[in-house]
Amino acid sequence: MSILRIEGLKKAFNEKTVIENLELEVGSHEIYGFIGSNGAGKTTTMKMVLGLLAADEGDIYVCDEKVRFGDTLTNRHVGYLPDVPEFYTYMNAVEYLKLCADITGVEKSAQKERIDELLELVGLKGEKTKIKNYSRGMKQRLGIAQALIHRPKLLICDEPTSALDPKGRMEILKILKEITKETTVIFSTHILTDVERICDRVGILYDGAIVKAFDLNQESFGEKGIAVELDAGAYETLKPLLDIRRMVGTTYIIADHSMKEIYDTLHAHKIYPSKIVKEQKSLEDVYLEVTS
Amino acid sequence: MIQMSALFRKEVVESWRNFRLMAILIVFIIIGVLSPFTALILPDILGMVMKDSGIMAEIPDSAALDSYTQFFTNMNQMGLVIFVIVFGSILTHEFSRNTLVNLVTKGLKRTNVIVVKSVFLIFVWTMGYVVSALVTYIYTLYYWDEAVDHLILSFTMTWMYGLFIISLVMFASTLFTNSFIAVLLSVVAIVIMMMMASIHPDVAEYLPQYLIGNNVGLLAGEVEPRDVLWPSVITGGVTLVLFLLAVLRFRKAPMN
Repeated sequence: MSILRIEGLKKAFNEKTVIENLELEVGSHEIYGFIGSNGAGKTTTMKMVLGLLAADEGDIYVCDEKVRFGDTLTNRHVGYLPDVPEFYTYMNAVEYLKLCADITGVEKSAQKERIDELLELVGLKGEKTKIKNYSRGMKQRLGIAQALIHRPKLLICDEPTSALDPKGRMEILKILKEITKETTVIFSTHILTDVERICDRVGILYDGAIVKAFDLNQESFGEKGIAVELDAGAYETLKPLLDIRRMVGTTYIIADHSMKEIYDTLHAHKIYPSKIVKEQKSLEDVYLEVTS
Repeated sequence: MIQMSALFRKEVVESWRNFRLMAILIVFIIIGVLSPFTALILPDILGMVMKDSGIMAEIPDSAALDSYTQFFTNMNQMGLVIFVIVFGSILTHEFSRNTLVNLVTKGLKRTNVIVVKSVFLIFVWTMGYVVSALVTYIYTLYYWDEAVDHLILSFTMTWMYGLFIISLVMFASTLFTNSFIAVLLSVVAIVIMMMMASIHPDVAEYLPQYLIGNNVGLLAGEVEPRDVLWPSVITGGVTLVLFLLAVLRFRKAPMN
């Protein structure tokens, strides 16, 4: 069963089309990375899934129920972590989660256990200070706890790591990876290393549609070329002979040649590399190819 | 119902911890205490001022009616304005800080948001107003011990007008996410009503403004209780319609 299905979604703001015929399907217990540049329409798409914005055209289904703009019943299946989650800062974490539990209809008798469990998960157990004194990372972790309070089938995270330091990012990614036992995660970001680290599948949003999608568990992005580390002077010699695409310091990325051709050329000109290795394309390489 | 009671508790805790509840109670108690006290000392103050200016005139002693006149002047002009300043942003500050997004995306019904916030404002207004009116009533009895006709109806007129203002602020808050603009729109609506009244005085007898312009007239016998019927019915009707419009508008308001 698909947890989220988007069919022919369109959205424009003041005649500027942001989303154009977006199609997407996400299955259960996977982490789907939704990547795109700033302003690509990631947040707009997520807000339409949450019923916070009206779609101009197309349909969205969460757990096979249609999302309706405004009071959408599908939100009982969904948890949402905004990029900058805002709380009632005069409360502490337990008070806030208690409010969320009441709103989502978690049984009174089960609330304490669930709140303890979540605070343990996000590392805020025993934290009694008011939320106004929390760091950005603590707020983000509390954001995950509030989003999971009602055991949603789908957790939507809008750039959850973009404002955090490396340690905070690692903590959030670790939590997101852990919770896929219970829930499906959709995770929008423009930090591609985060996506590579935890996502099962990824879709690149560009010009209002998903222009490329990958299964990160199965597919590689293909070969980028062969990286050869040489003395600085070798470049001028090799330039007319080989298709040199990129240089990083004294490392040259050579594409469209076999390893044998490169070896033969180097040998013929008595050039001896200190390192030679086949380079795989990274998600960043593919992203730049697709969006440039 | 669970959602509503949780949200109501949140409003109480919020306004208590942010000192707004305390502030409005203090202001209303001050109005309650000051109104009879001002009425009591006003003849003495006037007498001193006139004596200093060399004017010789007999100033009549103050009466219970003067105390209530002070109360309605203070409450209608100052109390209501302070109430709107303190609580007018109850919805818009949630928009500006995006605090409702977490709850709405958990299935909190938007209708419940408007209903609970409106009920909370009505609760605070009623509580503050009743305390203030009781304080004035008790002090007035203590100082003058005079019976005044139609006192409860007169108090009710300002209370009803307060409900109308709350509904206006709630509706304006669903149209504009900026609290300043929301309050401004409410003020503009009131000014338009006053202009209508001045252009066509017959209309004034049916407008909500009539309720706060004739409390003292009712106590003094210049206005009959039956004169208050239509403006009360119209104010009640408009208040209900504004609450309904606020709910309908908020159910389809985009949230960022």
